[in-house]
Amino acid sequence: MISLDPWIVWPAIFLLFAASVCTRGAFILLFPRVDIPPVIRRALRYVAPAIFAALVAPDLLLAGNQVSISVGNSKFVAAIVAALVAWRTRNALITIFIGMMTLHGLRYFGST
Amino acid sequence: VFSEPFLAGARASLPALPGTFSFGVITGVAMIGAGLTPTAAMGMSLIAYAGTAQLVALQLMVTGAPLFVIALAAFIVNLRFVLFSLTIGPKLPPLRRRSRWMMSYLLSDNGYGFTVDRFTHRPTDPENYPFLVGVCWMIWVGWESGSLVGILFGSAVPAGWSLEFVVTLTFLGFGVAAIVDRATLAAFVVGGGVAVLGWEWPLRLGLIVAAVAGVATGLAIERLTRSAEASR
Repeated sequence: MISLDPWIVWPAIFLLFAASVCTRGAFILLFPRVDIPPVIRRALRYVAPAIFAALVAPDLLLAGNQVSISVGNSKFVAAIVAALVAWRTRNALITIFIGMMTLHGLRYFGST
Repeated sequence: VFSEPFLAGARASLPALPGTFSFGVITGVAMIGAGLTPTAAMGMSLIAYAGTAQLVALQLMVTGAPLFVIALAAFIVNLRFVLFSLTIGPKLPPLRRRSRWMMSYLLSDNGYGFTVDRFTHRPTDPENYPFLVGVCWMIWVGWESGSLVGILFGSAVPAGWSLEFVVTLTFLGFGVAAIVDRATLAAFVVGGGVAVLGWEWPLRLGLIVAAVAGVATGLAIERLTRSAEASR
């Protein structure tokens, strides 16, 4: 089992707390009487698709620092299946379940 | 002890509890899988109380990102809360400082989701605030108990199950669910593409650049679409 440095983990936990309170409390605690400019309001729509794609794309598309888009990349194939399920159902649990089943199915039946 | 609107809020949140609980379990398992001790994992769920941002921070810690990148990424995935805060904050009754701190900790996606309707359509109803608090505390209980179960379960799962892939799938689901038109699709594609290009950049800054590039692309496409419609 890998283990993480507690000198990273605990400061990170408190930074997460700060990030939570600063964003949730932005107009409850910090600036209860301020409005935000419309361009920021519009930009917020694009934060979710951009950041979540950015978080997963390297894990799915890279194998040993090389782009690997093929049926031999079982994570990539499982992700395509999961993305289709997510698109159709918009349900996180079903998406995760089908994605994990696909990954293990592919590994079990030989392609890695 | 509990007021009627508080209990009404708690009841209203019930449909979200299975989802919140399971996401807590997933996060608990992922925290242990990433190498957190059970104490640190439970501490993270209790102190940060941040679901998605917790998973993001984990993924970054495992790949050796420095603290400022972790904090920046957590802030970015939390940006949606700024919008929630803006919607609800101005409509809250005058509150003590302590209650404002509590709300700033407790406001969750579901807390917002179940109350935004009331705050929008009946902004002056004095029952809104206790209702919101009732929803938020129930969601909190669901999340913390799910985390605890996940932490206990995670320690018992063999590594061969590749449970860390659950996090990737969760994020993929969030990203796909956010695609509703051409502009959001462009943000998704550019965000993912730039992150791959920038994978070997130092300090995992590629992630931050990718997020900014994706948002900028989304805004640009939105503007193009709008001016195309205007000139028609």
